[in-house]
Formats: sequence, structure tokens, C-alpha cells
Amino acid sequence: MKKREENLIGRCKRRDGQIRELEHRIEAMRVSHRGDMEGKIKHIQGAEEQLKKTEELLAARSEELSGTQTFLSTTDRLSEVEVLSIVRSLNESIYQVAVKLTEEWEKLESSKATGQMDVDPTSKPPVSVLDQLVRNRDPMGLTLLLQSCLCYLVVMMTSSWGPHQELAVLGSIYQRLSASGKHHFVDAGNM
Amino acid sequence: MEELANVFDITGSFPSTQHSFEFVQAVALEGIESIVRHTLRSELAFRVEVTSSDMTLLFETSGTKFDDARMSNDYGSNDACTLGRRDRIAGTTEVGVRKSIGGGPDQSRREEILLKAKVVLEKDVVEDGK
Repeated sequence: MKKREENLIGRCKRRDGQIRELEHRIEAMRVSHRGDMEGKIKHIQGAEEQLKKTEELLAARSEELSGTQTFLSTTDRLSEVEVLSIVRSLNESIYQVAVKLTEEWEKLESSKATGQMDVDPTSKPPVSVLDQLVRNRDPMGLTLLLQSCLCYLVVMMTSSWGPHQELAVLGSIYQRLSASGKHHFVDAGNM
Repeated sequence: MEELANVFDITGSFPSTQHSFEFVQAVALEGIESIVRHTLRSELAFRVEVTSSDMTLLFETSGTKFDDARMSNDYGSNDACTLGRRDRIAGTTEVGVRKSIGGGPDQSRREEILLKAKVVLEKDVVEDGK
């Protein structure tokens, strides 16, 4: 009976030893696995960053390519008739603003009790005929001067957006296309 | 808008440029935005959508001599006999369009007026002797 009890205790101790050994192994594996996982996570993060950079670069290059293709296109996308229609709309909007300003100014003038000027417009010499008309409070002169002023501002705006040195590359591409004679004009009838 | 305010300064109707500026802003802000939109649209057409030629807006400065090839005068008579006395332009009321083609190494640049700038002549707005 005692011998059986000792055998059982011995077996229990051996099992305890096996269990501890297994626990050590499991812990070692867990540590190893955690290390592997951290390494893989870092690898994935690195890959994701690389992918993001690549995608950004691709987007930038695609945009550049799209811009270049625009200038490499040898076919106009608008006919002369359509371009002139755009410019006529621009002129119409200039006229509308000039007329509206003149009308509102006339209302303001007519509502004044006296014709006295708030400031002396003759303090500076007139610079143009229209300038002189406006000094004389001529509504037609005012409309014409406003139109002229707006036309000038529009042209100044477009000049400031004009090609500069940084567009020299596109300029050279355009020169080559012009020289090759590959441009195709859009016929209004084909639009 | 400052330039437009300066025009109203000339009328003497406002006590200061700031008042003129506020008047222009109150009356024409939307219209000016519309002009800017149309200008941007024309630039897109000139620089991106039309690549076979260079197109630019045409504007004539006041005092320039009237040139029938580039300008049109819808405010008075274009009769040749009346032109020549006060045929200097008072201002441009509508911009035109100029087109340039060529300009390569072995090409001469050719210019064409697609739309004449509309101008008003001094003789049409000022009576003789004034």
C-alpha cells in the first residue's frame, strides 16, 4: 500500500515536472510568436507606407501625364465659333455690370437734394475723353468708361495668368507640334 | 473693384474712395464674379482647349488711332470721310480675340483677328471744339 502510494507520488512529481516543462515551452513559444508578430506587423506597416507613397507618386505622375497629354493633343477641343461665343458672353457680362452700376449711380444722383459734388473731381487733370465726360456726370460716358475699365482689368487678369518661364518645356513641345504641322483645327460644322 | 471705385471717384458723388468702393461692392459684386468666371472660362479655352494656335484677348488703349483691321466702332460712323479728324479711340467697350499661328524655327508667325475689339471714338462722344 505504501509502495503504491510512493509510486503515485513519484508519478505525480514526474507529471508536475512535465507540466512545468511544457509551460516553459509554451512561454518560450509565446515569446517567440510575439516577436514574430511584431516583426510582421512592422513589415506590414512598412509595406503600407511604401504603398501609400507609391500611390501618391502615381497620382502625381498621372496628373502630370494628363496635363502633358492635354498639350500633346493635336486636336482642338473647341471650335472658333465656340471660343467666340465664350468671349461674347464675357463682353455681355462686362456690359451688364457697367449698365447696372450706372443705373444705380443715377438713382443715387437723382435722390440727392442738390447737385453739389461731395469731392472736387477737378482736382486732378482728366486723363481721357471719357474721363472728362464722367467729370461732367454724363451717364453714357460713365458706362463707357466702366466698360473700358473692366475690359482692361480682364485683359490684365489674363496676362498675369499667361505663360512664364516655368512653361518653357510645354512651349518647346508646342513649337515642335507647330513645326510638324500635325495640329488639326476643329471645324464648327463637325461639333 | 478698386479700379471701378476710382472711376466713381471722378464723378465726385462719393466723399471718399472707400464710399465708392462700398457702392461698387454693394451693386456689382455678383456681376464682377460673373466676369471673373467668364474670364477663367476664356482662359481655359485659349490655353487648354485650343492648342493649334495661340489666342489672346484684344484690348485697345485710349488715344490709339482707329484701325479698322483690329477694331470696330458701333457707336458712330465708320465712314472713311469722317475718320481722320478725331479718329482716336476713347476706350474699348468690348474685348476682341487675336489668333497667332506658327512661329516655329522655319515658320513666320501669322496673326488673324477673329473678333475685333469694339471701341468708341473720341469724335463720337465729344462735340467739335470741346
